Amino acid sequence: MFEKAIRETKAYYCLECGICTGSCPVSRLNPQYSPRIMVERALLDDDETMLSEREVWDCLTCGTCSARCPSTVDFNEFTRAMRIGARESGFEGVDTHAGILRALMELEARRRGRRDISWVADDLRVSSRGKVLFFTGCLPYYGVVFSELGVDTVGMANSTIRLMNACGVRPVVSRDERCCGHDLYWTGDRDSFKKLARKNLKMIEESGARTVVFACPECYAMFSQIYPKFVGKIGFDMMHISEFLVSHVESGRLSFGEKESRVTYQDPCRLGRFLGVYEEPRALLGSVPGLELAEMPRVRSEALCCGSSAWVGCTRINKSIQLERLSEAADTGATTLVTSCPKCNIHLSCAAKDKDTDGGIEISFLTDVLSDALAGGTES
Amino acid sequence: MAAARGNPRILAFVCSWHPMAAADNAGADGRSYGTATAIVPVDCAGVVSAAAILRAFSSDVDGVLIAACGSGDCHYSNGNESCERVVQETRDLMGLAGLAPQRLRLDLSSDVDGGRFVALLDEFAVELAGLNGRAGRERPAPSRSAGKKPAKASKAKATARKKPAKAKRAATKKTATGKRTSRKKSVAAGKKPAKASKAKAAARKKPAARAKRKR
Repeated sequence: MFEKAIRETKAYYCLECGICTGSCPVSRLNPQYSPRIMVERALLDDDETMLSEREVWDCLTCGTCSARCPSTVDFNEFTRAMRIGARESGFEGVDTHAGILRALMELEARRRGRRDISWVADDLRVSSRGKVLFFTGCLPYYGVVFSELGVDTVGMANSTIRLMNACGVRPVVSRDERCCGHDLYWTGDRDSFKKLARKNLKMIEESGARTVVFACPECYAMFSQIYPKFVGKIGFDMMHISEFLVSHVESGRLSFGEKESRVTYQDPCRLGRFLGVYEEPRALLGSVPGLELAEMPRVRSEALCCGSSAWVGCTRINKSIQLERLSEAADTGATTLVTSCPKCNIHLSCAAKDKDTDGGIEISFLTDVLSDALAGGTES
Repeated sequence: MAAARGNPRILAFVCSWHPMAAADNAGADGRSYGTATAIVPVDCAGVVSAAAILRAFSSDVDGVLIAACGSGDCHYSNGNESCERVVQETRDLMGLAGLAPQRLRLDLSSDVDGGRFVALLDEFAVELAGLNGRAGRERPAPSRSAGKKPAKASKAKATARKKPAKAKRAATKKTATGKRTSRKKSVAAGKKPAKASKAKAAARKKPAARAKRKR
């Protein structure tokens, strides 16, 4: 059953060295879960029993194991293949947030209808057609779902547009946009994912955009790494907002005002290990006068995941990973933990709220920090 | 009577306390409402999640009605209040997704009058038919009498109609008895009563019936 997956993920190269399990943030806290044993069991043709097990849904798809694997086994894709198999056999993971986010993604995949973009702040300039498109992803929805956490994802989208405006760019914000399908892809829902991908590519084609800018690393990773596998070559450039802004800072079109603060930076799995964008967000933070960046012990390709992904499974294990990361961030002496992934922001804020940390570290989104610094800066 | 334009598909989550009594009374009185309305009894309106409502819309339902007990009358003290919060959140999400928030209606009432319940469904059907989108594309279908056979229907027609009704009743009964059916299943069962295997078999055996149903 898993022959194809084993072949494609190079699982047959597994040396059984156990580096994956030793690296896995989940295995550290849950000894029942071991990537090495899962690969081994698949190789020994023990698939059927494995599909019904909870461990299939425990993987964070953070990619730490694959980054360290001497045989370059793609454990993420292996997990995805197992999840597809599990879904086909009638097993599902436990949806977080009562399944509301999955339901939204399925709704976007199945129904027609245009999004409402009235959330775009009045002072911002956006257009319906143009060369640069800002892919907002699910940020407007998260604003409703996570309002109680105090995470303002609509504000994140607006600050991104504000920064683009400051660079002299009036981005397209399309009403025909759909969720990128990241979470459906990684939880094994191929059909809905493909529907979303097709709708998004059609939308971009119709907008006339040559460059698509993402504020969410998950959307960026899907478009640049996963979509081409299903639809072939993509005819537009893609970049993360940090890459977009860095080029404008370097050319002198964008600069920031003084902002005294000590911050630390969380490398998102998708932006870091998946796409290798480590320096741009740091360069941006470094370009704000007065802003001091204090690094955590585990950064870049060694960075610890924010503890949850694809809105599936949020247990004691996930919370422990998040708290571990928060205490690592607090130990740097920084007052703010900057993330460049909305989901890292949500997950870590949720853990911080649960922990009830008085005087704990503040969690901010990269574009929010930069947009605040913009107020004192010179705009071109 | 159902809506003048089309027959909107309505999924009604009905709290098993006051509102379900109203629905039962409507049946006992022999009142009729739109044939495309599916009633899903729930223990309390407070258990209806935003995900369940959104999934209903994914399944091409035109409108979702939640019938909850009136203010201060919730059997579980505050289920109706939490339902109000869920409805507000879901409406916000629907608005962002480009779905008219009017497609989700919450009725808070402890009135057990069957007439009021049917009027509520009819009024909602009219409102849905007036909205752009799927509701306007429905084929007209005759209204079904609650608990009664259509008097002048031919035998074949009666079979074709009766079976789906039975299938739907079975599906709703299952939920009513407290068996833990997943919301998704309830939605599916409520939405496509005509797909029950028995009804299908009946339609296959009698081509005349199938032709009539298609119309």
